[in-house]
Amino acid sequence: MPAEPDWRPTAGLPALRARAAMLAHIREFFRRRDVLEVETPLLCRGTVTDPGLDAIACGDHWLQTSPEYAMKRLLAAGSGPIFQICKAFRAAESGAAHNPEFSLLEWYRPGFTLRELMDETAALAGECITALRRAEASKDDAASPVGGEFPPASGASPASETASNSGTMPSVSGTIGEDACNFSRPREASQSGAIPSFSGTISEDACTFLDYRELFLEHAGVDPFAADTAALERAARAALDCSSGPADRDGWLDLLFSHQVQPRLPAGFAFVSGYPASQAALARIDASGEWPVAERFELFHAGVELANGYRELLDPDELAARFQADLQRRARLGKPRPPPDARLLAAMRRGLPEMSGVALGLDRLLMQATAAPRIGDVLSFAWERA
Amino acid sequence: MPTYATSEFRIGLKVMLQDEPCSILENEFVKPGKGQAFNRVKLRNLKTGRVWERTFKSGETLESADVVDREMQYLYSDGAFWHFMEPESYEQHQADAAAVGDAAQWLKEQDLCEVTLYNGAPLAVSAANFVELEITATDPGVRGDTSSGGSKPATLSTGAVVKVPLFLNEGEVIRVDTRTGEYQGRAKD
Repeated sequence: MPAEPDWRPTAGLPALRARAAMLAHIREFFRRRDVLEVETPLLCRGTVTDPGLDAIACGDHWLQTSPEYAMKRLLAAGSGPIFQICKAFRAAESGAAHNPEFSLLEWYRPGFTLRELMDETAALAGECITALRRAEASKDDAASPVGGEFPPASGASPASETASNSGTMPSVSGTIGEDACNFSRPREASQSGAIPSFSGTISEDACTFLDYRELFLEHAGVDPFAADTAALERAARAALDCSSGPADRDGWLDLLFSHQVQPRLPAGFAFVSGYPASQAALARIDASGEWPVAERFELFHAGVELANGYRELLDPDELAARFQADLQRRARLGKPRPPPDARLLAAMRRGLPEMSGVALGLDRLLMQATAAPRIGDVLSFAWERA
Repeated sequence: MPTYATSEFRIGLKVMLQDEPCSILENEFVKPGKGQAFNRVKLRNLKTGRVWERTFKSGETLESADVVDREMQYLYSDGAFWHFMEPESYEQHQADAAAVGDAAQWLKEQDLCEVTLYNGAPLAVSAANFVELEITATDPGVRGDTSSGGSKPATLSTGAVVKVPLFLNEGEVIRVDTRTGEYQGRAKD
């Protein structure tokens, strides 16, 4: 007799409830701050040239690796602050913290400095994690783990009664009407008490601000700006058994960061900034210091990468030059070279507002909030059962 | 031999790494959102038993190792080699002490066990999880004491020494878990 196909979900019902609660909380967070929810196409004619991302082709379109390009076209058309919750797709990214199809929250804040966006990201991520943990702890069936079984189909389950509770956040109850009045002053909303203001700790988790170069010096024993490729390779090979090794300098930086630095990041929230200019992607470059650095941050929680934010590049000529540099690097890495997105370039020529933007992995946030060890524990059907 | 890419490195897959046959224990995908992808892999060297931790660029490949597990019948030992036979083909293999290792103390003639072949030659031997062996030496049994929980050492026909309850006597056949070396009970006859 053939084995029954593995049709069952990879996530337990508590994880699905936590996801619904998280999505409701995020929408409420941005409603209070007067940020418009948008949808943009997941299938587009253009795609990214970023050498670290591989899009999945679908006919003559591409599944988007993030909604960044389309959202920037909305911003160029005058949308004002916008957010989007959508699926993103990245070929061959599969593992304990990766699924080729995953949920992304991306938002853009015209007029925000990078630091202001970091504060907002901290507030959002901190509130989500705290609220989900509280909802989990306050439930009658708190003992049921996130990966728990679905309840039996028959009979009145206590889970169905708590489902509506976990759909709203205890921390925002009763303040919604008041916040609705703050539409014209979204930034003040964070001081009103309705949203815990950010001051060195996010909710119950500590938050630290760390510098990429200092982290490298401390944990990898090498200066990521001054060292040449050979010195980076020596540092990596002294600490790690790596076969042929990456093809270029940024590859060695990625290897050292992901293997030597990331596992040693603090248990709470950690913002890392000061990335090398070569890893700016679509962030601006600040050339005022000793070394040019990308105006970019990454948010980690317990060493897991959650979000990636930029003070956004506005200069279309610089963007065109970076597209070409990406394609050259892709050629060196033996990767396909998709044509640069002409519509994004055209939108940028019409002018993007001065702004900062960030993308946050929602499955990872859920993993952190529910202490799930594998991304499949928070996905209804992980890649191998999709 | 076929090759496997990092994305195909499943637990238990047998691959060649620097001319050594290895079994994959863990495969962790590591990738910064903006950056290169790596696979952090733990492998066991099947010859030495040592665990190896190595980082690969995602997409790198390893050649598969010609390693297969076969159920075979243990025939006898001539002192230097242990001789095994495949029950269907009657093909015989001889394994040295390094390959047999700790399994030697559980091997009874005619018993079935698992032999790992590497390029056709025995690389490792695993006894069956449970074996039934005769007690050849132990202190005389304490009559009537079937529940006090005391134990005494007993030497089995293969030379293994296990702890058994006080009431057992020489000549009795017992069942042992070879993974833990623990007494499981009297053999049912």
